[in-house]
Amino acid sequence: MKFGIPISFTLHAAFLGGGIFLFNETPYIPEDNLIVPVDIIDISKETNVKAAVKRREPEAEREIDIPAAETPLDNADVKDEASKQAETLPEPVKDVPVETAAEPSVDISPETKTPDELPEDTPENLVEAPETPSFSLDDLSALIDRSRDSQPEANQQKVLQSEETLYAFADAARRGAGAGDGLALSQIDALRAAMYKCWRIPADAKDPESLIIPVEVKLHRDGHIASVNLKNAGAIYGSPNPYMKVAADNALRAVSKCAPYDFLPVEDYDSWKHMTLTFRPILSQ
Amino acid sequence: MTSYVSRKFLSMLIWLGVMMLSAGGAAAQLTIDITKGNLEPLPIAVPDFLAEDARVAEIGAQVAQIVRADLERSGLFNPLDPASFIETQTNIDYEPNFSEWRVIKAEALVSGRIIRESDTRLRVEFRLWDIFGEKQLAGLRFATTPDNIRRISHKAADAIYEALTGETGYFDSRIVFIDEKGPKTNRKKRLTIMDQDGANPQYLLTGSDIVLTPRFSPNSQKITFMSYENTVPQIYLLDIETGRRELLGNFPGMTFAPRFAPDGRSFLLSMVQRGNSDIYLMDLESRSTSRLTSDPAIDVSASFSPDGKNIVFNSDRGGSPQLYTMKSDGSGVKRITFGTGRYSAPVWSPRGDLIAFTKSEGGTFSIGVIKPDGSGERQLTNGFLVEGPTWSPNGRVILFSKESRGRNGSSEVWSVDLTGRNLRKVNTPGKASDPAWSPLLP
Repeated sequence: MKFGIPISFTLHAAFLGGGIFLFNETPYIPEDNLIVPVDIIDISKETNVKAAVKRREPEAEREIDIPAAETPLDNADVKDEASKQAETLPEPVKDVPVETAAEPSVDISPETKTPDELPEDTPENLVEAPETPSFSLDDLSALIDRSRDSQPEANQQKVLQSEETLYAFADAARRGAGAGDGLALSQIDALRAAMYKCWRIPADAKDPESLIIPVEVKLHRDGHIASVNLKNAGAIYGSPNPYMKVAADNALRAVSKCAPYDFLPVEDYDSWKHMTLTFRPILSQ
Repeated sequence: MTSYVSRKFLSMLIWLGVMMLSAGGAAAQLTIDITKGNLEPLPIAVPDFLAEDARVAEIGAQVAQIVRADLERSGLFNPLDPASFIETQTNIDYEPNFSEWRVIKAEALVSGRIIRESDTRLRVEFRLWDIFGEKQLAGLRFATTPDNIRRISHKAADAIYEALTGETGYFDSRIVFIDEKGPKTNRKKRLTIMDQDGANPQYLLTGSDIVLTPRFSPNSQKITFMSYENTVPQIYLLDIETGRRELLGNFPGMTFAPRFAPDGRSFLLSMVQRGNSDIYLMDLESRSTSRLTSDPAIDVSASFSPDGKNIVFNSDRGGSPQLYTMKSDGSGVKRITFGTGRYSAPVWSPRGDLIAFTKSEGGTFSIGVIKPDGSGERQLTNGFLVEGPTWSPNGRVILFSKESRGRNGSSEVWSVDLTGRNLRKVNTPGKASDPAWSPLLP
């Protein structure tokens, strides 16, 4: 093997020379401000595959909130301008005739209220209720929604395990798909645009940016409101800041005013059926 | 033993799985921040107040009209045309038909009634309803005499305003101003008072002496003002109830720009002595004065913060007239404006969060506000000559004088709110200037 060393030398030289030739380009440095067009797409529709098992019926969502009627005695002040002394005395409340102290009567209709929910101390109002019950499109929608939900499912899987386990597996399967929890940005923007029209920002209040009101909203599939509640009602209504209560009322009013949320895609109902809308005024932008 | 370990391991795995599922469930809820909203006035329906007979019905219509006008003027509400109402309530003790009010896009409803208790006594009752929240926000009852119905209407409007904005109203208040007659070269100026909506104007002084800078005491019963009754302008105190007028101290120099302390027991004034103007505090009971500034510059137009702990004033000690704050004893002087132009007539807001001022720059005057720490300066309105801001009792609206160019230019009182968007002329009997807004009436 007397040619071993020359052959090895030749091959190494050829390998190195070829390498220098092949990798002789200057390294590519991307430009700083290069704009790369990117399409943002929502893949939730493709990946949000529902588990083929029975889903839990959203029973709680079908309840219609009945606002509690307030008694005038709780909130009525008597201010006597004819006699200045009377203003400082609490006695004038006693002079209030019985009929004016009656609670504001509540429309009584079987769709919205049960006798158990009526105020106990005003039986006479049952008789004096207006003859024509109010016609509420919201209530009607709720009834329609209920009838649809009560339809038996066509392909109900045979239950081999406990229902609770199935519900858990169904949720896990959906989450495992990855993108099924979120709305597309365009839908969130649509929701924000709707709230812009419905919510009067408390710009005139003192320190408006501190008036942060989180509201829990549960929606029916058709976009009507199932329930709307303040997330920390105790802290808000107990706040010494009078603007806080009004900001909370404004936020709740905005959510109700914007209903129905039928612009949200029905196929993504699971994403928006339960939302927290945090009203957080920002004035500086 | 092995089976025990594997069972334990399995149960831990299941527990871990359940925890992950529940954590995942919580995260699944959609959370969205809503940071932008509109500033549109709130649509409110105020039907005529119900009444038992035609004569009282006339009062019911008048009350509703006054309430609508007050709310509309605030710029925060849009009272809807009664002709658009679908529901006609017959009893305010029943819940209204919310869906019918939603149809006309009302967001709040005021339903009220007037009850005649005797020839000299009326009862005014109303309820304020949240149409979308479907709940009552306020229910109030007032007893009054027929000749006091305007005030009761303003009180009702104040209650509605408070329930819907969270801040006290300002409708049950009065404005004192200088009524002006004649051309600019020979103008007569008389002290006049009226309701904040322009109703019930009355001259407070019968003479024709030139008076300037009227200011209310915190209890709305007294007014200080500067008068040229003598050759040297002096400060006077006028009791509105009794009409009694007195000279506040006989000082050697000119005294001007009086303004009450929040407790009403003392007031600030500017006094010129030996060519130097400084700020003094005068005790109303003892009539003793204490000097608060001693700078060789011109220090004028002092105004207390609502808590009485601080004072804002105007001084040219830095060159041009700028705004300064100091503690109520005169210590801790701090400059808060550094802009170009000349700042004057600072007034601390009753809410305490802002100071209003007049600014002149480049031949234009403007009314602006600034935070007491000197930040957030912004202009609310400007014009050929706008000056002399005065705050509404709730610190949301500012009145000011506005004069137009020319020999026979008009002199008017205007109002602007803190957004700067709601700019309106105030109804006065004629030419008017130098307004001062009273606190809410007791």
